[in-house]
Amino acid sequence: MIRFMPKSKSITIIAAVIMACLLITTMLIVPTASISYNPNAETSFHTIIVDVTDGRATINIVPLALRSPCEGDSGCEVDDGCPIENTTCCSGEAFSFESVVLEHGENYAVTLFSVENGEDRFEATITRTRLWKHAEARGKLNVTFSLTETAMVSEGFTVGSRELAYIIEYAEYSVCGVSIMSLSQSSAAYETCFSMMNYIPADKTEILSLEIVHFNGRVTLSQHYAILGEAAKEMRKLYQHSLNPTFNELVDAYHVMEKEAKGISKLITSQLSIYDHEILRSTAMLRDDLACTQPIECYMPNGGGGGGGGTSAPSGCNWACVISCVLQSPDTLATCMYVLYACAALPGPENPACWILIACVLVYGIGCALACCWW
Amino acid sequence: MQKNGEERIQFETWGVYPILFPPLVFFLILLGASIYVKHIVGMTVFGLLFLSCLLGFGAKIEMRSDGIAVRRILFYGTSFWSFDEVRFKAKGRVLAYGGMYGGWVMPLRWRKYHEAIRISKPEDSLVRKTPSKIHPYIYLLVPPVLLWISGNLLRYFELVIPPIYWASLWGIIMTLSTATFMYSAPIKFKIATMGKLASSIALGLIIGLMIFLSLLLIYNW
Repeated sequence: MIRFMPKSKSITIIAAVIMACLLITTMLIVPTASISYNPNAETSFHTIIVDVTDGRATINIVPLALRSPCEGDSGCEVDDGCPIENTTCCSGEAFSFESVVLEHGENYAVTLFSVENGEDRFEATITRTRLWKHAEARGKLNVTFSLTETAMVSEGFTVGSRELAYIIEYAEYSVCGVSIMSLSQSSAAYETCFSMMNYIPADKTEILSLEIVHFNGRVTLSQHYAILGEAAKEMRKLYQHSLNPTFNELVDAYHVMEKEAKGISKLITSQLSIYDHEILRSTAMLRDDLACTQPIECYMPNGGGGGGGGTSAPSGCNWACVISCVLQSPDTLATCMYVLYACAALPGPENPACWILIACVLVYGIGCALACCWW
Repeated sequence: MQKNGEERIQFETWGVYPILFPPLVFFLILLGASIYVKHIVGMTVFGLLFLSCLLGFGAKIEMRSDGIAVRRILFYGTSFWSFDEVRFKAKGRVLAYGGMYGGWVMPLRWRKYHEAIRISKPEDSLVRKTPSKIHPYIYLLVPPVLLWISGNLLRYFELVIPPIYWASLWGIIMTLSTATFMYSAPIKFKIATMGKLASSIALGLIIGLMIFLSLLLIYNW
């Protein structure tokens, strides 16, 4: 004889299974998260050192040591930290630049570029070819990617590079950036890669951040972006635990950059695998900025395709912001969780836990809606 | 042959607890938003909270020969009330008990239920004197408030406790607080076949574990 299970018993079993799954998920996620706490979260300028060994990346974050403009890379000799007087290497003389388009098509452009400094003249022919382009518009979302190859020929020498440029626009923010990979003469690997990823909020926040990422070790282009995603994740965690509430506002920026960098990594693996070569030396920059410093057109032949660095006005709720807002104060959320269980365990209109619970919902609901939906 | 508890059931209906409706909707919205933006921590934490609200939202209210039983899903357990502890509000639509508990709205068959209890209730029975309203809630509310204040004071003085220790402290104190609160509350309560002490400890452990894991997840996200 077939006997059916009572309905309430089935509900109990289903609920138990769902609860168990959620608890197991929580327990699985918790150990994978790092438990270290970095007290150096009181600046928004950092150097991120990525050591890559056997395909595994170790990320170390240190506050960025700012240097004076003439120090180091410019080639000035420095004595006791001060530039030597009468040196001319830091002062520029008048250069004249000229650029003439010799030939252009839908996906390529040939330009003659010349620089003149007194009697010295330097000329180069620059050929830019678009290798790949991807553009889509879905509702509020505008996405443009472009991969361009540049070959510069001058006095018998050829220097080549590839540029992957992108802009991802949402109503509330944009993410834009570029990766410039210099081509090797002898192998398919890229000699160097410099990437820049900018998060541009529509409401033009005052907070600016800069993280310079140095890679110690060889990675492929897709790995480069996956690691940038991990670096953004570490920065997000760092800013989340900052004692300075101003830096807590950077959490959203780095969460977005984390997601986008990982998305770009997957895109490279799936659609640009033939260009996904090893990079010998990599550097990158992650920034919360006010505008895209180089519009995507700069990296495309004929200035074609894609939008600029602008952002549109905010509309609707920024749901990522709402979630971050609720999760921002774990102690307060824990108190609200506890009163929820206390109210549900022993229901009663006179149970103060129930009224504190309603207060929690109102405070979180109104507060986070005001912060992320209407302002 | 039916079990002892089941053969005494005379009548049953479903009740909902309306105070849990606003948090239920709130956490559902947050869960939906987390899924929309693919926020794993949000999905897990708000999923747990939504499900906890959902499980606490409804109960099967059974009328037995010696009183009523409020049967709830999973760890919320079952509580028992004698007829002299039961009273109705809103012309019989809302069930209250124990002087200060209850508040179950019975959307279906409430008239029949009200009538059944009225008949079963001894005429000379009096509603039992309301127990102390302050005592159990001291165990319930003082510990989290103290923890919340301590956390904010520590942050104010820029002292840092590693998240694992802080989450553990929350979990342990919430376990003890819930267990003490449930055990000291003037109710007959059990989860599955456990006694009141074991049920209170089990409930405390479940709540403490959920708070511990959620906090750890949020701190390390």
